[in-house]
Amino acid sequence: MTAVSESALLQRDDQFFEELYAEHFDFLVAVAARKFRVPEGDAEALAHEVFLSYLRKSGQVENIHSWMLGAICNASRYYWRKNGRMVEPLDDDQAFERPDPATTRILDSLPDQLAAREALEGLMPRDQEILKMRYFEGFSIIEIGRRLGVKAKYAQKLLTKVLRRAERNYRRKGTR
Amino acid sequence: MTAHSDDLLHIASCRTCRDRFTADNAVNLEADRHREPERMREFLETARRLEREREGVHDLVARLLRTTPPAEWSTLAASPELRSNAAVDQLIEEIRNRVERTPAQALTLAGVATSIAEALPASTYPAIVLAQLRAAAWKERANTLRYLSRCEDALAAIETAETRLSGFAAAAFERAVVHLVKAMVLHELGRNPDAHELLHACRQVFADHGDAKMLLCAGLIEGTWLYDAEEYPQAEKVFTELHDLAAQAQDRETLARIENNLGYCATHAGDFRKANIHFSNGIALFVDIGAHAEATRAERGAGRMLLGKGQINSGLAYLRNARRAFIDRGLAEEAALCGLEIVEVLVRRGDTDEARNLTHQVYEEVTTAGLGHRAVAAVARLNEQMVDGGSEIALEVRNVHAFLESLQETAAT
Repeated sequence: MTAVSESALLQRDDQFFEELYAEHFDFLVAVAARKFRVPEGDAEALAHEVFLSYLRKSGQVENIHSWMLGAICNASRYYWRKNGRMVEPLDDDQAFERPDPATTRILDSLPDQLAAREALEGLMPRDQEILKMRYFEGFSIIEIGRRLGVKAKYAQKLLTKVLRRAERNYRRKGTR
Repeated sequence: MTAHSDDLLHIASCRTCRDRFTADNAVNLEADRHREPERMREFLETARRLEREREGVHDLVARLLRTTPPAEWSTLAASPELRSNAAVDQLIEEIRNRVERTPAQALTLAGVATSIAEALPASTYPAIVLAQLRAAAWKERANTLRYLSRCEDALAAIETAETRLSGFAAAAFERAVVHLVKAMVLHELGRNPDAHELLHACRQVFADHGDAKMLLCAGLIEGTWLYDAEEYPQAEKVFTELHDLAAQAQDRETLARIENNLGYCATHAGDFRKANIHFSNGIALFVDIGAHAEATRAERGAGRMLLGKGQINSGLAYLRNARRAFIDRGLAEEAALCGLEIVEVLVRRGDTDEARNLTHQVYEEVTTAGLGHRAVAAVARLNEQMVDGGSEIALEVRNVHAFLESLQETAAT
């Protein structure tokens, strides 16, 4: 059996971690910045934090790519949960990319936040959850579909309906 | 042909698409770019340090625990050689090894682990690593308190773990692990809706990270809760989903447990043919992986379950197999309990001769094995009563069985 010195082991680890960082850093920043619209400087900080968080369990992670991707997606969502989000996240799928012109007004131009909140609170819990996933946590339509156990097209329909319901509620409450 | 796309799940497993996505969406940080080497340096230095510490503390904690009397384990919190991430991880391993058998010792070690983790200066590791370490120690303490049924204390401990991680966006995985324990604590406190909501969220995070092991673990907990709440169809649904996942992950031990659980669900649904298939699959898988004790326990469980549902012949077959296996492995106490379970069925269906013979056999076994005198005396009395006969004999068999079980539980604690 070949004996490997400790320094050789450390060297190999160094190389492994260096390659890992080099291979994934830009990708993680791109996911955070482009998919979740995290501001670029913060996206870089999030990606770095993901690498550091990986270190404590580096020996237990079976699929590093999946792990890193899951970590940056969750980190980006957490980022928006903490910082609030009033922008439309980007989607992977262009078909579901375009906002519905009939309903975007409720997100873009609500002058009265109180009325908006009341309008949202008047929705069923599942409807609230759909809006939360889409506009607060940055899930794509495809991801919302997966979480609800429905196809993406149906998830899009649900979202449109929920937005219309919210808009109706909003109109009923009236701007003040 | 592979369908390439920008779907993130696909990107996770496809290098080509990952590179393309990165190139198409490159973030030009320009003036900020100079910060990257500094971050890379911090990452590499931390990686090197953690690796070096892991090498350095090889077997350290186990050795200290061997050479220090358990009554003095709490003093280990002051040991300078334990002030590292790797040593705390080893302590956590020791806690896990003890939590079922000697939870009081595990709690002492959990106290040591949290003390060390909390005392580490902020400059020791990057903030997120330190937060993960502290949260891991508190989570282990919470889990140990849960085993000791100190659920309010467990809740306080797990909320401390939660607090340690708050503010760290990239700690989603650790947060999910903490929430898994919190869900179990909440469940034991009867706060079931909160527990289910947390558990569901954890499963999603584990799925996002592609961690089949944790996903299976969380799924098994959810399935078991549903089963305990007598929501058998939903439990079966969860176990069936997990079955595919465990098969994909080639996790045969979990697969065996799932088969066994599916057997229980099918029994409740009255589908005994299906139940038998699942039980047999589970037992065969346990045997395949060399978990013979688990296989025997599964056989005994299946036997009792089927008997409870009036499936006398198949139930007895499982119990007889289990009893034989316990005898082969010299587990006299378990074999006796199993024997008495068979005796009760035999008495109830009027096979008094066989019941009498088996009771005598059990009596000889417990005497030869040198079980405690109270256990031997109880079986001896039953043996005499069997010879005399009587209408209340089935009840007597059950009483002796319960008495032996209580002795076993007392010995375990």
